[in-house]
Amino acid sequence: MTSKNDMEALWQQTSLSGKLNQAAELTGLEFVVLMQSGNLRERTAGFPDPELSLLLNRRQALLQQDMAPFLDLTVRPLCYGALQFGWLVTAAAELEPEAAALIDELSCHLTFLLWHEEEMRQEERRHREQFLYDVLYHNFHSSEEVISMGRLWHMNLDQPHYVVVAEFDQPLPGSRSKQLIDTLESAWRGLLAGFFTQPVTMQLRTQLIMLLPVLASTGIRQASAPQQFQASMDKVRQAHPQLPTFSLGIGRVYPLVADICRSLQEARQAVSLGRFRKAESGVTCYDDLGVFKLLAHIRTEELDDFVQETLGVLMDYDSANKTDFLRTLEIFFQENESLPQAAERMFIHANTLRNRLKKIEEVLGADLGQVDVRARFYLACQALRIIRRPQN
Amino acid sequence: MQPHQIGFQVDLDRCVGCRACELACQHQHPESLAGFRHVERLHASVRVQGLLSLACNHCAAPECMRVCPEHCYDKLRNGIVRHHSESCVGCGRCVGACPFGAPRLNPRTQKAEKCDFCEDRLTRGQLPACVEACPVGALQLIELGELTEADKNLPDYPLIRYTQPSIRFVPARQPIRFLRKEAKSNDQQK
Repeated sequence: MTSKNDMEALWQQTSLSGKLNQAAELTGLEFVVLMQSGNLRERTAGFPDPELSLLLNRRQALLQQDMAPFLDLTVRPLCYGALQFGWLVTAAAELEPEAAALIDELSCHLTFLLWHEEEMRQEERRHREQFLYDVLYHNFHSSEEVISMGRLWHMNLDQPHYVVVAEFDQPLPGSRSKQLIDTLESAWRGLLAGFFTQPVTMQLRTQLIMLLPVLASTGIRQASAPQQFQASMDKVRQAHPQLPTFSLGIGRVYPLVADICRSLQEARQAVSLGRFRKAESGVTCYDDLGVFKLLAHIRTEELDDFVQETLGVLMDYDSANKTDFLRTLEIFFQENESLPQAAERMFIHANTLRNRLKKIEEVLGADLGQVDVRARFYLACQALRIIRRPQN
Repeated sequence: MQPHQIGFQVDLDRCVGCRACELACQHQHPESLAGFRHVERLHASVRVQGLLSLACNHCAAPECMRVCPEHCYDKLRNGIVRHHSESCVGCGRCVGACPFGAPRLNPRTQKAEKCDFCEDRLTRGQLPACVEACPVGALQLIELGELTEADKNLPDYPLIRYTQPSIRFVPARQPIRFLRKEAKSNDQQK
C-alpha cells in the first residue's frame, strides 16, 4: 500500500516537474510526460535516452494506441473523459503494487495539471480573440484605452497597421474546415515570425485575419506588399500542399487604431472582389481594385443590361461567325492596350491583332481611338467579369 | 473564432403585411422620422408573392463602418452594428454605401440614423419591438451560426455577397389552388 505520507508529499508539489521528481524519489523510477501530439513535455533527469528516442521516433504508433513497440515501458494515458492530454511513461515493464498505486495517483495529478493548463490556454485565447474582435470592429470608447490594453498583449497599436485577410477559394466541408484553417494560421504565423516579433493573427469565421504593423525593420512595405505576399503564399503552398487554394486581400495602411476596422473591411472587400480578376490564389490590394469598387455597387441585372447594349453586337457576331473578338478585346484591355503584349498572350502576330481590332471597330461601329469610347468598352469588359463569375 | 451574431428571420409565408413591425419601430424610436423598419412588396417580376420587412441587417462586414470618416459605427460582440450619432456630421456616406439603404439622414437633426436592434430592450431581456409586435410570428430574432453567402432571395449585388447581411428569409410556398369540380351534365344525371 502506498503510504499516506507519500500521497501527501505528491499533493504538496504544484508543478509538473515537481510532481514527477517527487514520484521518482518515492518509487526510484524515472518518468517522462509526452504531450497529446507525442512531443516531449517533461522528464526526470535519469530517464534513459534510448527509451526516450524510441518514444519520440515511434510517436505515430503511440498516437494510434499501438503499444507493441513499447512493451518494455509502462505507458499510462493521461485522459479525462473523452479528452486526452498526453501520456505518462515509466522506464519499467513490471511495477510493484505500491509503485503502481502511486503512478495511478500521479496520473490523476498530471491529468488535472494538463487539463488546467489547457483551460487557461483556451481562456487566454478567448480573451485575446475578444480583444482583437473589439479592435477590428471599432468596439471601444477611446484609442488610448485600447492602445494601453494592447500593450498587455504585446501589441503596439499606436503604430500604423494594415490588415491582410486570407480565405479559401471554395467553401470547405464542415468537418475539415477547422483543421484546415488551423493549418493555414500556423503556416502564416511561422512565415510572419520571420518579419515580425509577434505577428497578430486571428481566425474569424472562415477567414484568417492578419493584423500587421508597418515597421521599417520588417522589410514589408505596402507598395510592394502584393509581390511579397504572393511569394509568401507560394511558400505556404509549397510547405502545405494539402491545403486548398486560398486568396489574400490587403487593406490600406492606417496610422490610427480607430481605422483598423476600415482596413479590415477593405481587405475583405479586396479578397472578395479580387476573385473577379483571378478566381483562385489571387493577392489583391484594395487600392488596386479600381473600377471594381464602383461596379460592386450596381445590381447584376443592370450590369448585364449595360454589357448587352455595349458588347451585345460583338457577342452576336462571335456566335454567328465562330470568331473570338470579345476575348481579343478583353485581352487587349487587360494588357494595358499594348499590341505586342496582347498579341504574345494570344499567340498571334501583332499585325493580326491590329487587323482584328479594326474588324472589332467595324462590328461595334465605334472608334477605339477615342478615350470615352475606350472607357465605355473597358467598363463593359470589367462588368462582364462580374457577370461571368458563377454565384456560390 | 465564431463570433456571436444575432439577426432577423422573415417568414414570407406568414407575413400578411399588417405593418405592425413598422408601427412598433416608430413607437420605439419616436426621435426618428418614420422608424427604421419598412415593409415592401416583393418586386412584380418575382413570381413568389410576399412582403419584405426590412431594417438594418447588421452585416458581418458592414460597409457603413468602412466608409464613415468619423468612426460613428461599431459592431458589438453580439453582432449588432451601432451608430453613434453624437459624432455624426451627416456626410451621408453610409447612406450611399449601404446596399440595403438602412442608414437614413434625419432632416431634423441632419445626422444619419439606423436600427439599433432595440439594444436597450435586449439588455432588459426583451425582444426587439418589431419582433414582439408581429402578430403572426413572421419576424423572428435568430442566432446565426456559420455565416455563409447572402441569402438567395436578396437582390443580387456583388457587394451584398461581400457584406454578408445577418438576415434569413423563409421563402413563401406556392399557393394551393382549389378548383371547383365541374357539375355533372344533365345527361349523366338522367
